[in-house]
Amino acid sequence: MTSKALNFQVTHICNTTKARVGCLKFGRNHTSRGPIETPVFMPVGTQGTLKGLTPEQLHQLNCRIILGNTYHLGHRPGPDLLKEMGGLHSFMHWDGGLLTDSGGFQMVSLVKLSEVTEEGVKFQSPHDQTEMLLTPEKSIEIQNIIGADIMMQLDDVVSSTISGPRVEEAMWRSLRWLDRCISAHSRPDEQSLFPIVQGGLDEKLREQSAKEIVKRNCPGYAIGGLSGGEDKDHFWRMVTLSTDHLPKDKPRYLMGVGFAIDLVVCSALGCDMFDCVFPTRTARFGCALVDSGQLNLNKQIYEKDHRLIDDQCICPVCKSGYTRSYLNTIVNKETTACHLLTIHNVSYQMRLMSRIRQAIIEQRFPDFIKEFVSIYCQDKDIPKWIMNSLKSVNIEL
Amino acid sequence: MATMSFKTISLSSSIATTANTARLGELAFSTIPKIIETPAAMLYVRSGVVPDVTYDLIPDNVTRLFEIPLGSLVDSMKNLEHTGSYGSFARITDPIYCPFHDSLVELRPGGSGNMYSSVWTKAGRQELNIDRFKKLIKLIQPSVYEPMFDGDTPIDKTTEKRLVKDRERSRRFLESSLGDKTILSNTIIALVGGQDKRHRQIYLNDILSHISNNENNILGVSFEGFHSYGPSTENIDLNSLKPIIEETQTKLVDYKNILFTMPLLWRPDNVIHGVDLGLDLFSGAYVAHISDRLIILSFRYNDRMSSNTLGAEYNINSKQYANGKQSLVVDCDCYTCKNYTQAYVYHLIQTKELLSRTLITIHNLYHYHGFFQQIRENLKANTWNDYRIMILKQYAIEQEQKE
Repeated sequence: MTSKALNFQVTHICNTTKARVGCLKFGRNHTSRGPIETPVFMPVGTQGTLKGLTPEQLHQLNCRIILGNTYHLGHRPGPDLLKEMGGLHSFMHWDGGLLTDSGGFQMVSLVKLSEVTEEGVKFQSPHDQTEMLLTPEKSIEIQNIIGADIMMQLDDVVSSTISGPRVEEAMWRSLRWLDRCISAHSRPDEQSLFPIVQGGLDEKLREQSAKEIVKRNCPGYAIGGLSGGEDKDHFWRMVTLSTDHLPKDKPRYLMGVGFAIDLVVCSALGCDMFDCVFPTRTARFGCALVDSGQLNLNKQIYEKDHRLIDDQCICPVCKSGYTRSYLNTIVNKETTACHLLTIHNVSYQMRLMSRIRQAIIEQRFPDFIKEFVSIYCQDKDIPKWIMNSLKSVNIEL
Repeated sequence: MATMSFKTISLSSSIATTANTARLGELAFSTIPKIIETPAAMLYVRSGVVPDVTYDLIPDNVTRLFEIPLGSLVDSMKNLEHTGSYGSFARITDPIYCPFHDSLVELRPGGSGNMYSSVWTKAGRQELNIDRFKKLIKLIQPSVYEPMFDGDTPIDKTTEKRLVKDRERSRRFLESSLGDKTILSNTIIALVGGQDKRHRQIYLNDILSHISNNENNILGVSFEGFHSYGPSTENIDLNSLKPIIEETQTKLVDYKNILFTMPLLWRPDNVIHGVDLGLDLFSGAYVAHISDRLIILSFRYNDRMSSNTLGAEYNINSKQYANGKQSLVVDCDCYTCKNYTQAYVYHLIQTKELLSRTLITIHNLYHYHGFFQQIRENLKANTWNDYRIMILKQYAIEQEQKE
């Protein structure tokens, strides 16, 4: 499928699950950025930087697309400076792909006093206490200035743990806001606007949302309103229902998902793009990602553990031979330890996605999943939601 | 332990006539095929890492002699057992010098006893007795280290009795290191005695026989006890120490291949004075010190740089740089200046992002070590007098403006 600013080709389809491998290209005539292979994990660089890493370091880790947060960037450095600097890519010296959210999620998660009206999200600026209004038009205006390759519509965000009429109201309002975002979008030749499937945990609403959104014929679609603490058995059902109703030839972005097991399962459910702050955040707390979960290197048990974080890992940290024991002496002491663990964790996510893609391409994704789940769960029982979700895509554990 | 050796290279006569003791030298290693030219700044490393910067981002012009203060390693002792050496443990292949004290951390009084001394970290005091010190050195296996000493002789607060204790203890600690064959090689000996000329002289006389008996194992001497380390040493008046340092050098004049070093936060104008005093090796902690305070080195240190309006150094955390479209320093070829604007670095500071200190440190390392490179070039080219004046002028203007 191709639109003016985005090209997506599905190159391989899993014979068993709904997983697929694809290739994304961005920008005017699709020559600006890419190719980016999917399924892809996008690390979160909230404020125009990825947690201490340079763009060159990210590139070395095979990271080709990252996220920025419109709410934060709109506040600092602000649209005026970003405009002067020619957009975020050049401001932060990043020539890879960029995706910005709409700013709506932070309204709900960070700003206490927000009120949603038909016009937009009213909130009190946490910086100078003045009343502000984030409208779909405003969100798109800022995102057009930031200049990310993919922009998100402003949606009416409700917690994934509530139900009832508020969820339905939010779904329909998000749809009306989508139409306003589409009309406000001033750079469709260079930037792609993704709508967001909403509808909470209500199958009917989600189906309606997806069907309505698909009518707008956008370059790609996001699945939102999940990964907010809801029951995992509800989560996967909503994911798979959403992908069932989204077109096969367009990328599907599952928002806010980044735990390794979720990436494996949701790739099998047909999602192509993921983002999450977890890998970089946990790094700053001294935790290194491995297939069985994470190692908290602050712990005393690592004092004499002279193994690498992961002997299969190809990241510069593991390749340099830094041991758990050495890292134990610097975590929580030197900021350089945050850099090292962020490098490892981003690399872990990149390699996991590469392993997923390779397994899909070679038609051994079901075996890959089985092995991954057994390492992940070790001697513990496999959680029911994993059993059920994988069963839905023809994998019996 | 790798064997290190030092030799001085005599300069052409025109410099000698300026009554200047500035000199060039070379540090060579038995195990690594490289030579480090002096005067040089070391790379300040704490717990095995450069603060805020991973090794892949260290500029190429940085002198790769790692200065790792002992205090940052005491906590790692348990982890370090059975690892061979700190170099292999922390994945460092470059030579390591372990000074006893951290130039960045102020020494508080009362850290020494008859059988122990203390190293200081941001987290506080770590007591080391002779055995623990020796064990630590054996575990680390540094290329060169400084034997433990007292050195607790703050200016104006040091009594005669304290100076005597300082000498006695420092000598005892030194002899215990020199007497232990397993940690004998490659030491830089601390010279103590506070700012008291007489006591410093007595101490040097006391230990002179050790220097002559161990000439192969003693790489150099370090002028200790002049100050209490830490931030205040940035502003020390080096000229006031000149007579004391000169006297020591006169005494050691026959030992041509003894290197001179001194822990200090070496502000560039003091570096010039230090070179004038004949110092060879400089602590690199100043870069970490200013980078942590968001200060950018901007003084002109070579002919290619145009004279700038920023002053010798400036603090980037100021609103006037919020829209700055130029690099931190115009004409600078470092990674930071080639790729980022002042506005971006300012933004990173405002948003408390880790990358701000990373980019600032990269620039300052490049600038500082480029400066030392120019010092050596100008000593070689016989243009030292002009060069030192050019640098001192820039800092003199800075001082005037501050006052």
